[in-house]
Amino acid sequence: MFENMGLLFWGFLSVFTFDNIIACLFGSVAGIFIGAMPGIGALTGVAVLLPLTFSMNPTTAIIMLAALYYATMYGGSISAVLLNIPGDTPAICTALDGYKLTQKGVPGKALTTCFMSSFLGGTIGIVILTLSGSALARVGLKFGSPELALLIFLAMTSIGWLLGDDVVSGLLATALGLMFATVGTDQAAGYLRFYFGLPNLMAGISFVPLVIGMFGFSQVIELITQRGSDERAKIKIKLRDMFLTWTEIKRLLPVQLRNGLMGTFVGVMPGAGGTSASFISYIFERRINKIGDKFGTGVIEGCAAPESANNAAAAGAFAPLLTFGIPGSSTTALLLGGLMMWGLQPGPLLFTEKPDFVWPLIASFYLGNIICLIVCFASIPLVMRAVSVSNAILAPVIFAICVVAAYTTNNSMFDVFFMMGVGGFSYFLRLSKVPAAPLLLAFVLSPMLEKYVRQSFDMTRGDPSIFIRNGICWTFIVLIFIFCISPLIVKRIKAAKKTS
Amino acid sequence: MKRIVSVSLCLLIGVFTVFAGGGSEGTSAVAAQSGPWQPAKDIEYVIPASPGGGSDLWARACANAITANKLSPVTWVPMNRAGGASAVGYNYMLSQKGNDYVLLAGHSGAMVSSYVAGWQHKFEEMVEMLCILAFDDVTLCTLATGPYKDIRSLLKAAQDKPGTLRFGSDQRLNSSQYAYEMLKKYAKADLNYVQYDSSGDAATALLGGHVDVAILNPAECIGQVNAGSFIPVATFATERLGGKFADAPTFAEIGYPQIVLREFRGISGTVGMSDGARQYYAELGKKLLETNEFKQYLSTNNLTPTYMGLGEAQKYATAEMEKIAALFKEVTQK
Repeated sequence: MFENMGLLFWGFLSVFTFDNIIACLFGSVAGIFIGAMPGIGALTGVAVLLPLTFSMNPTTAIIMLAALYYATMYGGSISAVLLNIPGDTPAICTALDGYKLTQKGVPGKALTTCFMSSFLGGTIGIVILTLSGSALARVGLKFGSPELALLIFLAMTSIGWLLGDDVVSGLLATALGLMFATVGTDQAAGYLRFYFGLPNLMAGISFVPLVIGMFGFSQVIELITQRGSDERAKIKIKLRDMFLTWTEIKRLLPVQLRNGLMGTFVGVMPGAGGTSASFISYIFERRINKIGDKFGTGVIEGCAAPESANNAAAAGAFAPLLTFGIPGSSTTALLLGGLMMWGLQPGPLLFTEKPDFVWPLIASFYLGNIICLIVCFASIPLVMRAVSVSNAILAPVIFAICVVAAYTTNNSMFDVFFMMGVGGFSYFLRLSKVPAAPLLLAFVLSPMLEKYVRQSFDMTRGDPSIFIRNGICWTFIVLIFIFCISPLIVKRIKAAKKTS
Repeated sequence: MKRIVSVSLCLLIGVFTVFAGGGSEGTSAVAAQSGPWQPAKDIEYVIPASPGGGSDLWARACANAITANKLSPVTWVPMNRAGGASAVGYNYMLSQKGNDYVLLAGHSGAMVSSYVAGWQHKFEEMVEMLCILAFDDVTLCTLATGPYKDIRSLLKAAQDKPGTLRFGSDQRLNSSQYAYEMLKKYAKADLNYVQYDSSGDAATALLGGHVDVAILNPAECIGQVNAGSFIPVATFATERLGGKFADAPTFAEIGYPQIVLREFRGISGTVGMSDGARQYYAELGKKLLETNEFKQYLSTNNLTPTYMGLGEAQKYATAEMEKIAALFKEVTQK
């Protein structure tokens, strides 16, 4: 560990060259923009910039692309909070509470919470990566399909906490999410399910058009059908509101620490990235937080949990990449391709053979995280003006953004029409007070559950004993039981107290 | 008043959006040219996959080498049209029938899917393989700390204890499953096929010891092989591969000459493309192979360069697919 600190210090010395700092700055600012633009996320951003970096020094190149990756986690929350359109999939949970805060007239507070949480979550992830990255990556490898299946199952047992006041409409939303998730090529045998003969549906419903339709387009409909006065314009935005009070900071700190740790851990897992981290942390936080039942109505904790988790996951995803040369998420998979293009051999030897590459990169994370925080805070007064724009202008602008965003995902008009269809559909869901969160959660988590369960059965040709093969599995099973039974016990205890 | 403006603006965007999908460029009349065919406008190079995959790297490497060496008077614009395990990209090619300015990054994996994964059209109804430029060979890897250090002990274990060894692989109904079925049919090795989203995920599972053997392209495992954590135990190519893979025998060497699989990559065009354009692109492929940029790309990704030109490439691809489809048919009929 002390050796790592020495190497990190040395990394800092070499990161402070003109090229590296400029690369870090450019990557951060570009990442915040790309993150804030709906439809293009970290993956597209890195893919587009990758060819430009082939002539660069590999260290400078990866500093830039890595900065872009974690900066998108910051940027995604801006449009989620202000316009209710998640800029990137990890920001979906942020929109649930963030936009409610904007409607309450405190968008600045929501943004400050997001940026502060992103910074703290990111810092936790980076510190853990520095101190014990390779040990963590080794633990991550122990998680095979059965362990991951149980982890997702554990997360899904908490879905009940997202259902809202009306259990029936909550379950309806969950069922819809499950149904959407079954469209496309099945994950085990390659058979096509519910694709209606459309090649665009053969790989399933794409996530980004679905999200943009559900959040952005349904809102356009709402804006233009709203009768009466223009409520948004009446909100008086005071810059003073962007600062958190001391009690609020004290409320947020434990949330940020918890979810920073959780996010790092999820980021290290094979195949899970910022999106799964933010979803998992949002439901767990909702479950254990004292005011968890207020999540979704506009509480700052609801923004803090997913934002600290997704930034931490972005840092955590680098642990398996740098230690073993295996990607922890699709964006790091792309960076892996970049390493080869720059003439480096990703793999277990990278740490030992190329310390002059690895340690400046890790040092640049600290620097980039601070740059992102400063740029984001500086942008708050500017971006908040979007809130005082009247609906008459906002509606067509959001509509245009939605169309462009849906198109750029796969360069396909099908996605645009699909986005509009989903938007109309979810407008009616909103009118009938069916919540969006359980639908999205089921849509994200259930395909993962299906995949891991079927992989586990693939391994043993259907023998379920693989789900109790080791201590990790048993831990999860015990937790699942505790999670399912605890509400009953709490209820009993409360009832007993009342009678006595 | 504002409301009316707003609503009408939204409607306007809606109308534009709807008609944007309907209009298609069609094939513009090319001015009468003298001499051999030359492209007159930018070329759309369709990647039937998301950014970051093997086909994406391939297409961008082609485009970069073409630009750097001025092989073409116009720009090749790589365009990701992902979805449906390549089906979306191939169907797009079908919709562009006869267009001389749309090409596709061809890979044998997608062609296998078009035959066996329930697609409406076979690949040759949607594209023409204009030239094949490289083989992307496939190897079997085991874990260095695991019990199987060579192919014979692995096959013996699979023959002795059928249904216990785990074979980590990417999606079914693809070339990887063909390799698996060949092992089962010819080597009587009965393994458990474990499907991952990608070969990268299969490599991760092998590293964690969750599978016993994984099927990987050299580029997907070279880092682990160099570090000594993976052993390449066999190659599906017809000859041994070079470098760190030189110790891995071919299946013919250990007595199974039928077990051969070579994935290939090349440039595909639309069906009904003009003869001049077809010849132009096939020739351009040959020049591409000679550029330093492309050579560099092939060697870092352990691709084996080859050249099959107009007619020959399409014939080879179709013959390979017929062979693969026949084995799949045999398996599903059982």
